[in-house]
Amino acid sequence: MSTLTNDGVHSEEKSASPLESVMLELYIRSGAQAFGLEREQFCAILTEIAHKYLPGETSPQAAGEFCGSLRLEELALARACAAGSERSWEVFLTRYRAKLYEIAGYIAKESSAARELADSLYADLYGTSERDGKRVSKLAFYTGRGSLEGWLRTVLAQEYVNRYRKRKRLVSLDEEAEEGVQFAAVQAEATPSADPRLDQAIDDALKGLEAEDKYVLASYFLDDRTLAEVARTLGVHESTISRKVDKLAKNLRKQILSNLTRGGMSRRQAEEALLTDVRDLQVNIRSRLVQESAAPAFPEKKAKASEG
Amino acid sequence: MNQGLPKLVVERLRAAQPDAHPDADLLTAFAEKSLPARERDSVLQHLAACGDCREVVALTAPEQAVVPASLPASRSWLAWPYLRWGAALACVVVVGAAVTLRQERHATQPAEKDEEIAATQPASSQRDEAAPVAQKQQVADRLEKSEKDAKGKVENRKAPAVAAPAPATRQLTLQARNYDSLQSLADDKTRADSPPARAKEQNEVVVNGAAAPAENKADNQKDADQREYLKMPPAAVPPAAMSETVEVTAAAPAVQTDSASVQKAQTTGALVARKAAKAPGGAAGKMNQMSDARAASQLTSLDASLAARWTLSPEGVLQRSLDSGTTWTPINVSPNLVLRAVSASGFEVWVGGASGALFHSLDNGAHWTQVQPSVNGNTLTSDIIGLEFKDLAHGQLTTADEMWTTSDGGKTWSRTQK
Repeated sequence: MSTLTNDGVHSEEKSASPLESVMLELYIRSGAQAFGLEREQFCAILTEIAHKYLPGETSPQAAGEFCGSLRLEELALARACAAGSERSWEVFLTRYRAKLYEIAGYIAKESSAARELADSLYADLYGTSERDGKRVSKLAFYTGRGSLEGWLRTVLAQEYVNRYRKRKRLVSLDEEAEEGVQFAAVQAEATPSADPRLDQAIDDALKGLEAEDKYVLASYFLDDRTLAEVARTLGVHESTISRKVDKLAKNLRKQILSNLTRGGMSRRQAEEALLTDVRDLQVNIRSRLVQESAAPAFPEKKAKASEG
Repeated sequence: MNQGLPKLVVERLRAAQPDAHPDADLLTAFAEKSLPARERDSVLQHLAACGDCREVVALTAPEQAVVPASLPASRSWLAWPYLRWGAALACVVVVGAAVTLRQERHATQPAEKDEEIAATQPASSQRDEAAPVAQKQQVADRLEKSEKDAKGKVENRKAPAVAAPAPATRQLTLQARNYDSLQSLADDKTRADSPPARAKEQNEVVVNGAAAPAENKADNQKDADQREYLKMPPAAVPPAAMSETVEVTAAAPAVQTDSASVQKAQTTGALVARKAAKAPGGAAGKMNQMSDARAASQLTSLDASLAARWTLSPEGVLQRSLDSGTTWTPINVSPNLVLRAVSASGFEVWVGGASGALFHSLDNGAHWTQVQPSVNGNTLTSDIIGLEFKDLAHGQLTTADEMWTTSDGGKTWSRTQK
């Protein structure tokens, strides 16, 4: 059995026994034998998962605890299905087939799209594709960190998002003509502001935020999600997110102004710089220039001059 | 109203570049709140910069807002909901005591009672002085009834029956007597041993929260049939086809299994009493004991709004909700048992899981009896993956390749291949 430490062979022998007994206990707890998985197979799966998620210098005890926190029974079922056990596949179908279509319906909203989504994942789970003569099932990638039902939901959502993104890029010319997409201005990339100190001040302020705070701001302001939707993803109440957004917006503004004044701007300059969006100014100038050049001055005189 | 962010800040937020996408397992564990803090932080850092992964997380979030399971237990007793219900309870107790006192005084001193009613109802005192005594009694009764409606049911033999709104599913409940304290429960153990006839006399059948209203006669007949079924002696069956019954008690005593329901029971004056019958040797003897225990038992009287809901967690743990799915309590049926199927009807619950484990409860999950279906000496050992019980008698369980059916509440089974 491979070791999870980088010490020599001696420590490998020492660490093998306690880890082995833990692995045996986990094997029994998972009921993997009922699904047709041998003990060595299951232990190899657990070791692979521990290597994937744990740093190299993890102690065998910590590795054992980590493996114990996995969804062992569902892991055994999924990996047995991936290995080709028909009995396991029947159990999987009984438990998850209806749920798969239910989740697809919730994600895709529309019934035919939902059915198509569920059917395509169903085929991937069963393993209709082959690599090196072996059936490749998506269930072989399940590691038991979350529930199998939750994993199916995530995989369906990822597939849905990928399809939607592809569809956006491949809009037909008819649709473009109808919606006037060809007349839309090219989406401008993020243009730097006039004063580089402003970008730096904003970046520094954003760097100082907690990861969860940045996630809340991104979900609320970039994705236009409602407070309830953001709260649901974090498992908190809507009012918590409302207070958080208010507090973050206020504190972010204060921090940016403080960064700007530390960079040499006066308070008033900093406030003006923050509130003024240079791109708005550019768009206004552009539209004014277009308007001014629409009707040329003195058209009769120009015509006479060209004749003459 | 939320403050907006300056456009420049939004643009810098949008310009952030995400690192490698977390795999589906990490996103799942994030959505299920089961990631350790370090990994959760790392996933959040990525989500803050990656719109696609945020979209995935939004699609995989639970459909309704999650209320942390520990929230009710960690609530301070000073929190507003407890104060509110405590105040309502105090009002009910005061009014109930006042009404009882008035009635007692009315029996002995009618003149003093008129003054008390006048004192408690100053706004209508002039009217009440002129009204006849019978009308004054009606006013007192209406006051009591309005308080009951605001709080819920209050068990009182002398009070008039309160018609509760008809629930979506009908429940058969046996209304317990009005106990003053838990001490009476201990005293009542002897009463719990009384024969079924006496138990029937002592108990009052309540259907849909009312005392058998006229329009529920058909339902009453069915209830009576079902109660008769519970008291029926077991049919003579060939020994080979009988299933064994082992009675097990839940890990915690009934009054402690669900503190929320016990508190509610106390406030409504109803308590649970159940005789744990020890089965003697022999299957027929066991069946008789079970029937007597069922007939003699007094079930918790719950309001129609407290009908339990049941579900199984992905880990195979049974969970019960008494508040229409707002909060869920894990129910320990048996240690280290992974459950895969549940079927419930009223207070009767069947659960099944790995290696043929099948458990049955008649009292909303307070006590469990293990049932070991067997046919011709072969006991069920396969994993139970489906359960369906239409009523007390008829049900079926499904394994990967077989279907087991019973028509006598689990006493005998028949088996067919799928």
